[in-house]
Amino acid sequence: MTPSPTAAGVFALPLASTADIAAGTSWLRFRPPPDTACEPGQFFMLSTVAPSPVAYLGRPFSIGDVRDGEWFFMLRALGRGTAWLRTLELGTMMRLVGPLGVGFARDESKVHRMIAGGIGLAPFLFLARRLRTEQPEAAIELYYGERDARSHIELTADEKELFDTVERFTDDGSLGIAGSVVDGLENRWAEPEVAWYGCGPQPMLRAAAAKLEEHDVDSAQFAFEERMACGFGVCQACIVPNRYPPPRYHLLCTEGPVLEIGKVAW
Amino acid sequence: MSSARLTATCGPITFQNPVLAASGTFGYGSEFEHFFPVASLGGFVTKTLFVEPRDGNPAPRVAETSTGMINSIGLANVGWEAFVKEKVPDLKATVGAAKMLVNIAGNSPDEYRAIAARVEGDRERIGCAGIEVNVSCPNVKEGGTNIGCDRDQFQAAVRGVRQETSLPIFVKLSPNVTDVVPFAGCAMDEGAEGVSLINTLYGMQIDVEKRRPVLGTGSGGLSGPAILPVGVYWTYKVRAAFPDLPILGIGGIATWRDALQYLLAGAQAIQVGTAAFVNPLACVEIIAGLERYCSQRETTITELSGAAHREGRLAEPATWTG
Repeated sequence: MTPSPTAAGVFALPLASTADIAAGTSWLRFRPPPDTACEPGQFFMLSTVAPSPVAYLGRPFSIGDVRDGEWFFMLRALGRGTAWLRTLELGTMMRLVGPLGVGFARDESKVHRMIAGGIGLAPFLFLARRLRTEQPEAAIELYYGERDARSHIELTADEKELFDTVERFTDDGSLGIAGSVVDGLENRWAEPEVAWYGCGPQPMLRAAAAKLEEHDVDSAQFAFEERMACGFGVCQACIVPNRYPPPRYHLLCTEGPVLEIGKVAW
Repeated sequence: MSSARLTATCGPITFQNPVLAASGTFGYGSEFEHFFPVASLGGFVTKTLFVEPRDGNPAPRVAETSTGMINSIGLANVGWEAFVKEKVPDLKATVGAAKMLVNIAGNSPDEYRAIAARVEGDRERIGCAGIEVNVSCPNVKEGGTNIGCDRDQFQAAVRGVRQETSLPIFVKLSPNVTDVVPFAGCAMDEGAEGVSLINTLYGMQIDVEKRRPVLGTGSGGLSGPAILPVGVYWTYKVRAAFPDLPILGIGGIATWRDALQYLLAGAQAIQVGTAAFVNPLACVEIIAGLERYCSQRETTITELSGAAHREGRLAEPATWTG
């Protein structure tokens, strides 16, 4: 199923709740107006309605989950702006612009395999939830790597149920399997009828794309991240080099953030 | 439809209200249609167009500051032909009573002339009300000097555009000079109908972990609330020097109060840029704020324009000398 474009809007919503889920990492939750549709892999630009003292621009956030009528966004304090967002009090009025971009296309593969690095886990709970509903027979797998146990986001029982397989990795071996997700997948790259999805740091995505191409996997969708000022195609900041120019670049916010790996000049 | 109080007259162009979406922050017009009807604006200025398409600069292209951003997009654009064929049809469907200004640039005075000739040739087809000339462009042949900061090249560029078109011309002035006023005078002497001021200020941000500049090109243009007082200052100075030269005020406007500062300083209309990235509704909120202000005080945009000169005691603002 190809994601259909959803009309983006500007929502002013109070921060409804937060929950710490790992070191420096939390959910931000909002109650959107009813019937506001969004697709896995799409994103919102989040900012505070009152101008921030430290971060002028909004920040792009994948839709982390849609549960009980709430929008979930996974926030990790990685810089000044995100650290500041983590300090916001409940009820703070925030501006959410979206849903933006093109999300994950969902085909009817037997296996849906997601590889996540760090905060790259963000889009996958929502994707798994949607796939569970649409394709109850399919196997949904998550391979999720973090630097260490502290940063590791422990899935709740409900979240674990979204997956048939969850394999966890840490760089230092303090939780799950020691080493990277890409190394951990060993000889599974060549398995047939697998739909691949990736999100995480650029070196991880590059290594995974190399493995997939080495094994002639012709379709894999990765969600990319880049600096964005607007999120809707105007500022032209969020570029990813195009493998088949012209043009030289893909514009991530409107053509992505999910791109087929074959379109990208790694 | 805006109320008559908001009508803004900028030389030969009358806008239904004084709020325009600025070049480079409004795409080619249709990107904002999701958020509000483009037809409700006074007008909008297209992304800078060259004759030939440009890919723009390598990433990272933006660096955020606490009160704005620095960009080095590199004037990425689709080129004139693609603009006319692919963008204009959508745009014409949405523009309504809003007026479109086409923003143009080149890498040399000759290229300015060439793009102006293309606009003139297609003026009926695209339905634009005028041209905004982006002179903040490096002259590739002259070792990369910023055309907008070099009087001779500035003059040559504006003259070339004027010779090729009878459309109203607004020259967008760079603040990266010791004095903006002579450039405004030069634009006027060369037959421009007005000026837009200011463009972005040179800026740089350095990543202290990596110990190198954040932007792919090293430096870029600073915009956002940080530059508001700079733009208001130059608007005031240019209005004082050339009371009859129409001014489109731009630089750091995020609220109706910011817009009003420019109008009071002497602008006839204003442009909203970076603020629309953060809040896509910034323009419509500013229009609503100005409407409220004018109606509560029973005044008009025309009356407000330059009112700080008439009511203040400083016909010529004192210049800070350090």
